[in-house]
Amino acid sequence: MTPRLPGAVPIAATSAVAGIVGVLAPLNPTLRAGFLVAFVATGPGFGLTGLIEVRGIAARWTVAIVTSLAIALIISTILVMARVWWPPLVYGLLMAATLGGALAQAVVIWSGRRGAEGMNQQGPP
Amino acid sequence: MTAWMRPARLAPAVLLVLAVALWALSLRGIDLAKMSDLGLVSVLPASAYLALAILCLSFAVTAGSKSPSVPLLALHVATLIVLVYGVTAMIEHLPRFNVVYRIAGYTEYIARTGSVDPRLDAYFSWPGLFAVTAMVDTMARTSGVLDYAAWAPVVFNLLYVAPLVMLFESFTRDARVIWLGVWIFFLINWVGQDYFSPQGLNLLFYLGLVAILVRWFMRYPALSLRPSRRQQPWLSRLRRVAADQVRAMAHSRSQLALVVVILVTFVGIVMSHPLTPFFAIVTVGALVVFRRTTLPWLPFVMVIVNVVWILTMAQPFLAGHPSMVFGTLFNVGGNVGAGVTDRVQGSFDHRTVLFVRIALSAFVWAAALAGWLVARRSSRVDITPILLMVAPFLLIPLQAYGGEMFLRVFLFTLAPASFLLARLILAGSQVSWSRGGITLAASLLLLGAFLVARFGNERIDYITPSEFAGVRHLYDSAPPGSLLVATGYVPWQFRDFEKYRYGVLDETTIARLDVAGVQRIMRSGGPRVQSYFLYTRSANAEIDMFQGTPRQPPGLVGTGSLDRLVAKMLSSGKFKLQFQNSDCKILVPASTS
Repeated sequence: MTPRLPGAVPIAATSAVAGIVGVLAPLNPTLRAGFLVAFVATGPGFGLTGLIEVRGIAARWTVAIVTSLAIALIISTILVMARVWWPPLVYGLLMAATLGGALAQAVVIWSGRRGAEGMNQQGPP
Repeated sequence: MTAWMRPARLAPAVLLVLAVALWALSLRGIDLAKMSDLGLVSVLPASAYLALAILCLSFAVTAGSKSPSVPLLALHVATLIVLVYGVTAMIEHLPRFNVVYRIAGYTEYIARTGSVDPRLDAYFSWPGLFAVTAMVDTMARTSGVLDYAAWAPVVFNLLYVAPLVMLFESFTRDARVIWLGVWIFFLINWVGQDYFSPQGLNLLFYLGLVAILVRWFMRYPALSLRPSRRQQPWLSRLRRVAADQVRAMAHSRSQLALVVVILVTFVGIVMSHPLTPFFAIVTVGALVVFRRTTLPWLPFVMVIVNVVWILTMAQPFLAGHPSMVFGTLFNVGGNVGAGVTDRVQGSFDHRTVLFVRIALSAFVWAAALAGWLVARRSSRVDITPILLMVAPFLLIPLQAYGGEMFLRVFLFTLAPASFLLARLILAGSQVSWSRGGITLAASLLLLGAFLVARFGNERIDYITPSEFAGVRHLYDSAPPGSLLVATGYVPWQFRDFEKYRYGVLDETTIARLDVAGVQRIMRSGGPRVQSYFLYTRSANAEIDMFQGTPRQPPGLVGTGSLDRLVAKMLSSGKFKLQFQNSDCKILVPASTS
């Protein structure tokens, strides 16, 4: 599957940085929450849906945002309902989805380019 | 000359900057205490209205131009959202709306205990938003939701932009119609469910789910075969696909992934809101009935997921409140009355606000229907937008939802109605100045009604620092297990949700200035339970606005009733003041040490 979402990797990476800033930066708590909300609303979505063939900016952002928030919500709710609530675990899973997805996309894009270059080097039959 | 230096783009950009600057200057020195029952419009200075008029003019110039700039249109929409939906966050010190404080309490409970207790409150059966927020609060080390909840309307509405554009792109390729539709959405979204609430989040999920479904899973039943009108029955004619319909088919593997996205989104909806799943089911069901989707099994799966959740996780609520759930089933007249006619009461100004709300809603629905009929005549729009608009009405017979069902129906019809309204506004106007003129006139009309409708309850909804200081004092001084009594419209329950008991003062007690009745409520916790009576500015405003009329019949709640009741309680010698500031009083029984 060729990635149709080249912007997804940098957005997911930026979102992950926002997620780290939201936890570690010596900022006002409200600002930290703002960074974390930005991460939760975009990171996992752009990490996981980057390989889906989605055309158009609005469509890309829609799919990524609803996926992101839904995943964050489902993981949090399951942990609360199961009485194994541990916020760092939720945060870690979301960060893993973001970074893992972005990494997978980068590998697919990189291997796709390598393949394309190989085809070009072969020349016409 | 670069594109941005052309007069057609430079003029709107300059007007936009002017509008923002004027708006910022206008908000200085607004005295909220002078607000009347008309709400925020009664204290906004003339320069604020001028700023919004300039913004509308700027948008109209941009939208009316020969080739409108999409980034500039998007910038106008974002500016409108920040200015209008962020105004209360800019001029008020604390998050508005007493319900936000209760929601802060749910989140604080989860962050503190790591669990939910559905017996405490219905919303613990749908804890999705609170669970995520508890994670954010814990990891960011905030003192709670109240740190940032004031900006929720801005954030939610900005998030709605992408699914709205995506949905409208599925109906037409005309960027002007798409962005005018989005602009109109934010000029008519008066319901105010975009505060920090599960409904605010779930409207985003709903719009996203519908947009994905309409974009990639549309069915085109009569693409190659279009018999004449005479040969078709009415249903077949309705099912016909419009010429302007955008056809987008995703790759099969991507389609599978998008189905997963739809299901994940729906599970998120089911876990976080009791009502939105039903709106999603009837909407998708309508698309299936009219053969507008390639996923005919989807509504059945959605029903199963929702039923499983209700019978397992929401079962304690269901068992405890059967009359609330089933009591209004198929009571069409009662549900309509609870949502419309029963609400039309209160002070003259408040009734004016209610009239504007009803008129705006009726106008939007009627104009949208006209927009569809006009567009349909020229085969420029499919039946899908009107299906999306009509489907939510199917829920009215099922539930009154505490008298709010009409509001929710309006909320879920907003997106397709905005699109059809944009179609109507731009129908037939081919010339730039004509398009711009009609767009400006419609924008000013809708904006005027919107400001009254949306901020009409602001006198009740805004929370002053003094009020909040009083309520915090209450929690600091009242021992756990105490009974706290108020009218209900107070910013409480934001902490230690399970540690206190709550009593709500009924209308009869207030109307009769019944001190003995208040005593009975305050003793209802038992002989050893300490009780506190909470009086706040917003509670008093609520009584005055919702119940007050100048000529109040004796024995009914009227203007100043709560003030008089508190004065009578104190003069009776049975209560004493425990705390007092300019906007809050806490009374305890005189026998309390």
